[in-house]
Amino acid sequence: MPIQIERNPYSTCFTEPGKLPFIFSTTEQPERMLTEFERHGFRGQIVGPHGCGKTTLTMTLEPYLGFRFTEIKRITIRNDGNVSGRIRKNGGQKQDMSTLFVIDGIENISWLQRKIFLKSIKRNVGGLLLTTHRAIKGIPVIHQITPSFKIFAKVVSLISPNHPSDPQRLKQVFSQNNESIRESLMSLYTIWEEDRQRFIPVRDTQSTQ
Amino acid sequence: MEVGFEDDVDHFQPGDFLRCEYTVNLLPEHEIQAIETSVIWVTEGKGDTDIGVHHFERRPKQALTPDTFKQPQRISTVMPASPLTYDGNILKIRWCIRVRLFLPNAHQVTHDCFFSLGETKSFSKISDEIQLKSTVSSD
Repeated sequence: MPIQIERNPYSTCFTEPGKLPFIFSTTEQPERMLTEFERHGFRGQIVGPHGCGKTTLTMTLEPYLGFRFTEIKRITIRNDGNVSGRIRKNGGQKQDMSTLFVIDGIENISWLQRKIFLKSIKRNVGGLLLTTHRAIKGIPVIHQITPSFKIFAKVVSLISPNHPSDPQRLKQVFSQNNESIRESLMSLYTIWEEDRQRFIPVRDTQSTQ
Repeated sequence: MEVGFEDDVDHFQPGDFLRCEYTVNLLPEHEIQAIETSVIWVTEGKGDTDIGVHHFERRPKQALTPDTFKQPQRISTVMPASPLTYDGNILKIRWCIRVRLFLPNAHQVTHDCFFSLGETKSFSKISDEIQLKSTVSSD
């Protein structure tokens, strides 16, 4: 029997940053954030707790920023301090002044490393946008994300409109995961698999009848 | 763009000869910079997506002829022993044929056509079978 794979809508490949749009609340507007960013000379940081959509927000803003910067370079600093992404080097020359550096997870390195890192970047680039859990001194905060259940419910409805069927369950998942959208989606992945397992015997019975 | 398997068979065993065809009839040929075809497996689940390339072919603009767009193009390869298609709780392995068209201004059109390789059983199915066997033997 060939295996028919049922795709879990909460798989990372559907939910990772960039796959879903950032859901703006009624009081948030991308234009306002961009104006604020420009007002501070294209230096700024987006602050918010773990898994609230900071990276997704920077990706959502990218098309708007594409009009101002010819290049956008994205650098991700992981929990273990590993850095991924690339910085173009022009044979020791200065970086292109119309390059925007988007740095994710700047809080994952020590303050001294951060100081050196930011200094080396700030000196040479046209723009700098950071995402961080805690605000970093010396960089203007252009937006602070506060996760809410309303936003989370909207995200889930985009991923899987009919699952979970009980809204109360969704609320429970969100609060159990300390209002982290990313962690809540991970939990929903497991719940979806559990629900699927429950339905398999039913389906098998039906297919043999 | 259309991708189809020979005889509509989309399930293979290791060592089987996979044959499929694709047709590109959406865009004028001069707009396409290159066509890439690949037979790949991808993982889906809670973690990052892994990808393995089993077969790959790139046809640059120079290698594209009017026939490329008029007639179905063939992809064929012998399927490997592993990894087999797997439908687990934390991880799923899926095989697919990916046809990617490269257009001007770095635009791309990708079409994935999924199929399965081999037969594996889920953990719950194995445990069900074990339980059934033990019930039969105790009887």
